[in-house]
Amino acid sequence: MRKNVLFVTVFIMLLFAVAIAAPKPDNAGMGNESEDKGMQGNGSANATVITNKERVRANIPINVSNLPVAAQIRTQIHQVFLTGRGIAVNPENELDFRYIRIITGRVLVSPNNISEESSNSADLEVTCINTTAKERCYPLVRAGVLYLDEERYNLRNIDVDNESATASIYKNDTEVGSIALVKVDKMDAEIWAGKLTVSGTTYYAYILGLQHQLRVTAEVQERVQEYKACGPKLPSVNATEISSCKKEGGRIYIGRDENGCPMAPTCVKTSCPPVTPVSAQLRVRCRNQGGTLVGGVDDDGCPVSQKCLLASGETAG
Amino acid sequence: MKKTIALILLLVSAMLFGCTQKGGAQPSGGQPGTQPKVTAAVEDIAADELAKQIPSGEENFTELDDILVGMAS
Repeated sequence: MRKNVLFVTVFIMLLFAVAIAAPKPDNAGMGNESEDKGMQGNGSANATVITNKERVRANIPINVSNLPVAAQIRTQIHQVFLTGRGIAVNPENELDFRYIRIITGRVLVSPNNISEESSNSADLEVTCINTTAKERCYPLVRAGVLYLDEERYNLRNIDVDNESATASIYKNDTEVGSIALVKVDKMDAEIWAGKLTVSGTTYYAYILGLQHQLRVTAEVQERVQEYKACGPKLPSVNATEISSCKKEGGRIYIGRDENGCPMAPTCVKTSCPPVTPVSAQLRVRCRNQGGTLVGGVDDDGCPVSQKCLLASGETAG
Repeated sequence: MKKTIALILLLVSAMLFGCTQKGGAQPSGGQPGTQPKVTAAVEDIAADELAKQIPSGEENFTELDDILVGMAS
């Protein structure tokens, strides 16, 4: 009998030993917060840029030279367009002013973090590079955050170049306003001036641009800094205009007249080629391979065909 | 009696073993390759990443002061 008890005890111990030693499945899938698998990914030294179009107005080009080569794409900031802080003043009530903090830029996101609803976003740009054997694509999102005092808003439909920036202002997925800024250089400092409308109130906004290690810097054409001659005109853009421009595959652009004064924002549209919808077959194949269908827009703001991207950024399907 | 105790112990250990295995397993998504559904807008995911870099607001306004004074003079 004692032998039996001993046998049972040993058996129990063995069971626990097996349970503890059993390998846990990888936490693959969403989040991609797992460690990078070093730099053994596709080398980018000999990469051939596929989507290397000429710079278009109202869009700062993607910096393809610093795209990561890690095996898994993780969410990280790729470029910073504009960051700074300043004041927004209600012209009808000088004591109604708000403290502004803003940051806009391009963020690299994992394909696994792109929802079906977001896969054709006007702020999503996919840049692909060809390595020796494979094509690897990087989903980049133009995004921004705006604080008015302590209240946070997100920016969407962002169009930005080295001299102007426009965006829609969102609060909890609802569009509540818009912002249009032009860059003014004064006293060796960079000031972004313009108008912002939020919840029906329009403010004059003055933002002191700050430096950031990922800040996009470019040579800007020198201008005669006589903005007084521009008169009391600051560009403003209607949130509805931004939305309709985006739906038509365009970009908001703030031009300058011969005196360097900002002109009214306009929607620059190019004739977008038709987008071929993905077949049901590819949709199923992509899902079965654990991929995500990602579309977005090109440099001109035109919608592009969806591709099936794996978490590594490689195309599949 | 001892046989009964041994049997009970065996059953309990088998149950514990099963629980341990189930707890260690990945939450099942059904078929292999199936991913949990993402619901957040990609712009918001990107904005959250950018928000980590937002100017804190704790900096002083020295630079802006200088500029405003320069503009006024």
